[in-house]
Amino acid sequence: MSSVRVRTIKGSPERSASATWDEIARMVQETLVPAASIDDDDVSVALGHLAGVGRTLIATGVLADEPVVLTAPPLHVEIYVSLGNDALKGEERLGKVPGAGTASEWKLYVPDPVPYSAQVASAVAQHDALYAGAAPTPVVGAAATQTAVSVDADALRRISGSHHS
Amino acid sequence: MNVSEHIAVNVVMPAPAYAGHWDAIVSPPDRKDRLLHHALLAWTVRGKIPFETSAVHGLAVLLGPPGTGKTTLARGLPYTASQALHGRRARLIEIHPHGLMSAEHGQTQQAVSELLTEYLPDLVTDGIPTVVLLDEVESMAVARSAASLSANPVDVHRATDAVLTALDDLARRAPHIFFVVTSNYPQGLDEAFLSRADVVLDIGLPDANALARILSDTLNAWGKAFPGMEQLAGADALAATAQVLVGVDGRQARKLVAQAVAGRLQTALEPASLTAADLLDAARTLAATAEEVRELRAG
Amino acid sequence: MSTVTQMRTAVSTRTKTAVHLTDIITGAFSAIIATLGLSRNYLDKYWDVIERGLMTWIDEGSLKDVCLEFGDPDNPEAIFEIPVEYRFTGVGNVDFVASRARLLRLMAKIEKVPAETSYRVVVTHHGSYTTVSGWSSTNSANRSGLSSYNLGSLGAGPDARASMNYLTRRS
Repeated sequence: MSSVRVRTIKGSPERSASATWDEIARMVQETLVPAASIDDDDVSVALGHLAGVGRTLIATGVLADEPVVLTAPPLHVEIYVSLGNDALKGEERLGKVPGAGTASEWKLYVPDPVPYSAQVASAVAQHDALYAGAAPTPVVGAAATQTAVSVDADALRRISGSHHS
Repeated sequence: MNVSEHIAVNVVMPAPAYAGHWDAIVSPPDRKDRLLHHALLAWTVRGKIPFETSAVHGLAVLLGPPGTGKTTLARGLPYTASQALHGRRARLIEIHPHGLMSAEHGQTQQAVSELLTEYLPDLVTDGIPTVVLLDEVESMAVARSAASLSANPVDVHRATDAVLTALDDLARRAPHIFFVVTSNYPQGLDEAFLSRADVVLDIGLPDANALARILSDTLNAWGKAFPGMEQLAGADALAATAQVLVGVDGRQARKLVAQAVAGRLQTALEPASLTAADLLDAARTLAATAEEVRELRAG
Repeated sequence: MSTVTQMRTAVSTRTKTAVHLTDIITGAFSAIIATLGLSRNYLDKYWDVIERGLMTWIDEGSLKDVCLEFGDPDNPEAIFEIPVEYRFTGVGNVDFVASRARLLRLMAKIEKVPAETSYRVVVTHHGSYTTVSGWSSTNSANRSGLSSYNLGSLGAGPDARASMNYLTRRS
């Protein structure tokens, strides 16, 4: 079962494509820091391979419609970039997304629409955790393990009786 | 902003520090029973009946003036509920809305949403039945009527939207969370918020009988430290003292014993020398002061 | 509203316009290079320099146009020329528009260039301008023999707008 989170980072005119990519990279890195078995330096290296094509996908508006997706089960984060008038509205939440503390692996999916498919493929080929295209649809379920809760009827009668006497 | 800073308490019952909270609040028995039953139902029923049919949100609203024990009752609920569950465990999480609402301008809605729909569920993935206390929630679920628009910034109204959305979301995703919210100012609560409550309980001022029980309980507790005082707990004069106190809240009633002890040098030095007359005198003074304060406020 | 507040708002909007158009321009260049299937090495290497220059010069109103030139500057394969026009709107309309989708459709119609064709970004200014590190002086590519086609607006902010001309040897 996945915890699905959505984040929208403001791009231009609030911030340039470079600055926006830096925020995406920071969000991914800070989100994965709590996962003890994920190497922070390795994450940094992977994100470095994406900087060029990431800025392109921002400046060309691709990330306004299709997100970069970080999966670190049970966490699934979809990261969009708002542009133009949309970037002037509303709020944004930057930095760490909670929920990756128990993750033991991570993957980053980068949209690869035409004509950027070859560029994205070339970038993601440089690291095992990077993938081109859409992420698998997350299975969203209950926010906890389904533990049956049952009432102790005798105990409840005692509790109720104690203030009725 | 680090929303985790607004989680003030996160403790799994039974924890000894919370053992006396439920019984410390003297209120009509049906109020406490209903609160307890709603919590137990919310935790058991919501796993069996779809939310769209049951409309059980897992939300109780406690209303009443300050000092009537709303917060203490809410804090005592998970301990008491844990005793009525086969698993004998329940959790208390306390969120302080005020700090959240004083976030940077424009960040409130996001902060509320992140706290309630992301951070909070991550704290309770073990499925333990959980009571989430939101104290003095009127800052977070502001009535969005036209009358309040002029007084409240837009981002506060967005916070109300975020709370409502979170309640609907968690009702489906997290049936083991039961929200208890308290408010001293029910007129300020949004109607859509109140409509989502499974139960709204008026924890009003104690009547004479309740006041007598509060005094008795307080004197018994003092008697453990100062043997002899507990005899006043069973005194016939206690009923007369309680009658004088009608109109004060339970917290003030408990303070009466300390006020009576401080009234004379002899009792201040030897609390066990307190008499029923001392209590009655202190009660008259307290009641008169409370009346003056009410008149000043009304004026 | 006081004059000071008006000035502050105008400066802030001007800067936002500069950021907005810079992204539109770097995005257009990215779309062109990707469509032509060329290496993005140059773009990656100079992206920060290009961004800094364009934002600075659009903000101060000194940027006349920015061009993406393909091939030998003495005999270029193609040039994409983006002139910037300035207008002062002051307080009021704060609309930021872009024609990214339309640009992408237009890209389908541009002439292919040989696989290893080099490219470079060249700017021209109105009068004096702030020096931005990473940029050096050069001459614009030779345009004789090229036909110019107006591709319309790329986008606009309250204080300026950008359009695109496509210069090609195709008749």
